[in-house]
Amino acid sequence: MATSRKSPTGTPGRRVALDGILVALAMIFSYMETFIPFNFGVPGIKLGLANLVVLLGLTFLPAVDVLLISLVRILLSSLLFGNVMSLWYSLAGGLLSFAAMYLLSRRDDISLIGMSMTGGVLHNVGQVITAAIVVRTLQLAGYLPVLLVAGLVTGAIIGTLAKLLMPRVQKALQSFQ
Amino acid sequence: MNSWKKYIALLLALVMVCAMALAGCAGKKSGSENTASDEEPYSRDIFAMDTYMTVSAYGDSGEKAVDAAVKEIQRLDALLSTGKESSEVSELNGNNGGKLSADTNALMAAALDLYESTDHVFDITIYPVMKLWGFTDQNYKVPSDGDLKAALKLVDASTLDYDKEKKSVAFTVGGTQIDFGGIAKGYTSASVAKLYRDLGVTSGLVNLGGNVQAVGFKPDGTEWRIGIQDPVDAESMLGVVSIHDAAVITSGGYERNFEEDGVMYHHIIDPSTGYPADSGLISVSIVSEDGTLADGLSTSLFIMGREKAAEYWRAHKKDFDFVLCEKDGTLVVSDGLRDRFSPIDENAKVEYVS
Amino acid sequence: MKKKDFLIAAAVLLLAGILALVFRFAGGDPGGSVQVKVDGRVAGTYALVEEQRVPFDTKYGHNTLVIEGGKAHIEDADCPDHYCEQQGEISKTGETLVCLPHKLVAEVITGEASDVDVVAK
Repeated sequence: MATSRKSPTGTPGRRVALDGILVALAMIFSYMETFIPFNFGVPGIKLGLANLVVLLGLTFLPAVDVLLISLVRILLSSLLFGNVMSLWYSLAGGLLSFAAMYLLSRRDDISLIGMSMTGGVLHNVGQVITAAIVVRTLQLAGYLPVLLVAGLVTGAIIGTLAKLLMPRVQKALQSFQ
Repeated sequence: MNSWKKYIALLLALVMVCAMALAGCAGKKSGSENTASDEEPYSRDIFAMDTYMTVSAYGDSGEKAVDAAVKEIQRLDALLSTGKESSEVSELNGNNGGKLSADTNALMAAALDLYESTDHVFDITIYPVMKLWGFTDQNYKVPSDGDLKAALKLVDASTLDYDKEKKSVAFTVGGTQIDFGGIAKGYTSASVAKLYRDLGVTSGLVNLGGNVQAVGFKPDGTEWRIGIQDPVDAESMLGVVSIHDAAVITSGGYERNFEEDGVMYHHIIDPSTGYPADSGLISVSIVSEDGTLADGLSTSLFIMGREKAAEYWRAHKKDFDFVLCEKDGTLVVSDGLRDRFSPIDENAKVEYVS
Repeated sequence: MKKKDFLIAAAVLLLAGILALVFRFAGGDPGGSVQVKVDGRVAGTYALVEEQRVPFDTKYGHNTLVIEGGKAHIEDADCPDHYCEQQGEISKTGETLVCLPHKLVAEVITGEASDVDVVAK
């Protein structure tokens, strides 16, 4: 990882404030996403803009903070833009992809794009597993190849975006401190 | 370490607020766009009234409504079955009449209205003839002319001395027997539909052995698509009707029949002859908001044949619509279904009656 | 992008390819299945892709569920009316075969999407 992984900054108040801002940002991304038609021919595929926050967060915040931001974001956006069912899908996808991205963020030989692609793929895998449990049928596994590729593509897009945003985020962080 | 604890406490509080908000929201019916259409109905199937039934309902009160529907069906089955000695109908038949419960009173009133309006084609006193043919217990046989003549003498609903206010009926001719079989399922599906509405179900489907009654629209807000059985080919359909809040009931000789000496005999008996109706129709489907009416008319119009059926419809346009299938496959559709019925076979001959 | 990134992408694509092939050859579309209930209790669920004959001997009597060419029908019934044998073959979701005397119902639970919600018959 190019960025130094120093622990976040200052007082607990500042830390919570920063986390709060990031939750809000992730919420905005989730909301924006409801306007973006991103059709892969298979229902349920999303760009995953909110993943930007997780991705970038992992570079300068402790993992626990990012996990909590992600969880709160999922809870709130399911509540606002989805339903109880979509909460479980998002939760499964979100947790699985977070775990993967966290593990990869500790390695130096994988870039943001690699992290993001893995996250995107595993997000979809988590959702399929949940769906298979909910619907009690394995037939959904037939979608898996499509969803894997879709996760890869959306992950690459988000990863590239993250990489472009990185310098600005660094700048902003410095002024925050 | 201290700051760490504070941080966790703050975030925990935030998560709990979210969880509470979510729980509060889940209580309300979520109105967002595609939640309802993905939803699975609550559904149960039972054997009753000599057939296989499936009742299903969508929404929060679906489970409660379906369970209540099953109980209601079992209650009506026990009340109306001619096969059970303890049923109210059996007691009426055994005692030449008697007091009527609320349900049998409603059925009796509906049955006698139909008897009048169909010019005696619909007759609940046909039971002795049905018994003779074995359609009541599956001991099928062609009755002798003598037996049939004797039984036909008992077929005359005008001999029933019925008092709607006092809820009682007396059979003035000894040996008269009644059977609500011609409207029982329609009445039952109508009762279940009413029960659904009372319990707040806005979307549900009742299928009593092919007698269908739909409550409201589908959960996605579109109309129900009800297939109409092809009387010739068990695997295909004549067409599809799109409806909401209506019963679709089909009758045809294909439903129950037997063969003797190479001749096919079916279960829709013409009360004027005592023999299976041969009117040129092979199936009749009725679409009506009133399930009881739809059930009664599906057999009555089958017996009447195309011309009389059309005539009857013209006099009662606002109550129902029909799809008739003639022996040569021609579909005769009443005008009210012009935009609601689509045949499966594009080359089918469809004639509209208005 | 780093070298390992490409490795990840390649691995995922390979996996997707293998899975797609596996699903295609292992019966392709997993297809539908028929659930048989006797007196309301599930007696078994059978895949429509597998050609099979499943006998049912219950206290009510005997029926054989036959699956051929992706469709199911009933044979060898010893019920008095034999209507179950005349109901033809089913393959679309929600279609049923019913043997009333034996309280046996076979229903396609996951099959080709049906054009209608229910059939009035």
